[in-house]
Amino acid sequence: MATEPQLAAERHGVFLTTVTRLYNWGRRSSVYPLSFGLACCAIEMMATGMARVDLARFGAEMFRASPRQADLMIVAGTVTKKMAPQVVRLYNQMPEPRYVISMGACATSGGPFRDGYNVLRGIDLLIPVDVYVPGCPPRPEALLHGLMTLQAQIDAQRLDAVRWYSDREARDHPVPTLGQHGLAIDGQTIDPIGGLPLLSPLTSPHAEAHRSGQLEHPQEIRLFPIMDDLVERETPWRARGVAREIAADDLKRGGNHE
Amino acid sequence: MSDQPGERLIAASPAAWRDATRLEAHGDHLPAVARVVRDQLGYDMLTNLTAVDDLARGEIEVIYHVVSLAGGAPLAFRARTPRDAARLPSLVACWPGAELQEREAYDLFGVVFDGHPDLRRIYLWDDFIGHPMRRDFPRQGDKYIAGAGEE
Repeated sequence: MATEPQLAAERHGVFLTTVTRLYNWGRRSSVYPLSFGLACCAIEMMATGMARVDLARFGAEMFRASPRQADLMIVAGTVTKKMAPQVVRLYNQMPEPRYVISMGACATSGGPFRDGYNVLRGIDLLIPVDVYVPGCPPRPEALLHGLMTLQAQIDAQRLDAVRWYSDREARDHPVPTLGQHGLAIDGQTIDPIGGLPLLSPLTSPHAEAHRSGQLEHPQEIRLFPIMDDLVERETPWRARGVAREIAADDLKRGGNHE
Repeated sequence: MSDQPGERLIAASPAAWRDATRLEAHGDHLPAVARVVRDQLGYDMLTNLTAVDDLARGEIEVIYHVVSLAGGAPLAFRARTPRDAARLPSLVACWPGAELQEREAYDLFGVVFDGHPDLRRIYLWDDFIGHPMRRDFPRQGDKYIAGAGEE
């Protein structure tokens, strides 16, 4: 780095940077969230905007009432199946670049209502999620950390690589309809009652939103919650009939007998 | 006169009032019981209407909670109906507050209230199949896939 000429220039009021860095600095410093909440997480979201935690320090205090003016959708709370079409429609109405924070256990996976008849099992089945904030509900600090994580993601974006500054057109995400056995897209039930989600989650949206291509539930035995890494590693043992304690001991020793 | 269900209701002992959920009305007599409860006993407001799916007896039990706005102890009474053909007379004519709550019991338990002015689903959408609060509604989700009741 040519620091010496740069410092000399700065003494005369000339600053050198890259367009990408300046652009990302401006975008990440003015992330306007969409002003809507679905459940108790919304209370924590409001607290995050208040003086004690103060989302305004990070430029994200402008909760917009219209999706046309919003950059960030904070899915704060339980997404019921009746509300899911509206959430997707709001997301489709947001101009790009747009980001999604899934706040709390319910928005991330359905939470305690995952096995109910009325709650969507994770908003990432329908729209891409940039940052997941765990908690039930997360504290305001957790949401703030989620926002800072999102800012770090925005900082890492390259203007010549992101889709919305290229020629590729934006694509609306399909809005589900209310079918006889749950949510449906194009007449196909995607989240059947008494079954498993038939969609894979949308992942890696900051690169380009795409589906993992894998169903969330292959044939292997699944436990609740799905987000727990230990559970993921323990289930093959249980499928083979190994006692839970033995499997747990092996996990403690760090053994991997896959 | 003594054959009227309402008269028998009035003749019940005060102890029965305190242990009010034991009051049980036959489905056919439900409107008559309700009129007595409202007009002669003064319970002029229905605050709650819930249902219980009694799978062992093959019946659905609908429980009515009523209060008097003038004060005093609340009252609850209940009615049973077979769960295969769950039908009860509507009490909307007696307590207008029953309208939405009977719709809820219809939505989640499948109890058909005869005489209800607008018996539609209230929480779930119209195309939905099934009544999810019934106990034989499928237990669902990945939580149970690893073997039910193994913990």
